[in-house]
Amino acid sequence: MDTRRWGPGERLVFEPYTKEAHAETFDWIATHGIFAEGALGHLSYGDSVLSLAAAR
Amino acid sequence: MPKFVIEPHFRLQEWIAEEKGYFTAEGLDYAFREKIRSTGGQHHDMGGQRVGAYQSFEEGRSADVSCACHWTVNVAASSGHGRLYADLYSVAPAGIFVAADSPIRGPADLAGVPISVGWQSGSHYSTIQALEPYLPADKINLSFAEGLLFRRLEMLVERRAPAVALFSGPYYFAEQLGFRKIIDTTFMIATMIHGNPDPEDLANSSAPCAAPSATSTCAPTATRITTRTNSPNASTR
Repeated sequence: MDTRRWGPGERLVFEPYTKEAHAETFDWIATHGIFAEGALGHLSYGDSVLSLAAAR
Repeated sequence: MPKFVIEPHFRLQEWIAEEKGYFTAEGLDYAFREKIRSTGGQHHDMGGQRVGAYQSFEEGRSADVSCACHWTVNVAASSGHGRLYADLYSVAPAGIFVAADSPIRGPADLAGVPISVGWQSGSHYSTIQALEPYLPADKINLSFAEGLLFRRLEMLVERRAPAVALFSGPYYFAEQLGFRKIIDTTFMIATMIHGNPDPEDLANSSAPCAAPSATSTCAPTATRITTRTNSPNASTR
């Protein structure tokens, strides 16, 4: 294995994972039935995320 | 105060930060623990059981900070298994690979073909999202029996799986071995916070790759980008 031939790998994005992204993701998962009905959790965005930036 | 615990999952940038001492340089008093080992492929053989990233959150992770695909972290956090760290995310290169001599040349050729993915893990969601424009749902044949990332790579190399979803290091490895990528399935990874770690420790744990010089300090396995790509159903599968 020659890691010099690899690409840049995982890219870190220092941008917020927004409430809209959270909701859109949640809806997509629900629509596709990947979890059993009622097993997706019920906490709100505010209760299920931590943001140091928002706390400042 | 107990040490700050980091679970690297399969995140190569964290291994590099660990190996090069960047966490220590940030003043972090920490422990580095693998829960799902990437230093031994057998650990990724789940014996055919439907066990993936979400189940590891249900079981309980002991680290202050860990990660998984954003879909699973989203659901796990909404179910009270931790909190999604909303100040950053990452984008992992991913794709569906087949052998070089496979008759499968394009996404439509994958109709009905078992595609090995991890149960309720990034490869599960991202494979569906990538193939939906090409195939009806009943033609997307996901196989969960091959287990997690490194086991799937092993099955592909041994020609025991016709198509597998890979990301990060194994993605590059398969590419280098000559396997053919049929479609890109690049997806977002989110950070999960467990308990109530010291905010300063939390900030320092991502600081090694947050500095302006991060491209050079964490390359080649992690690159800091600032372009907004926060569209989970578009380019960030």
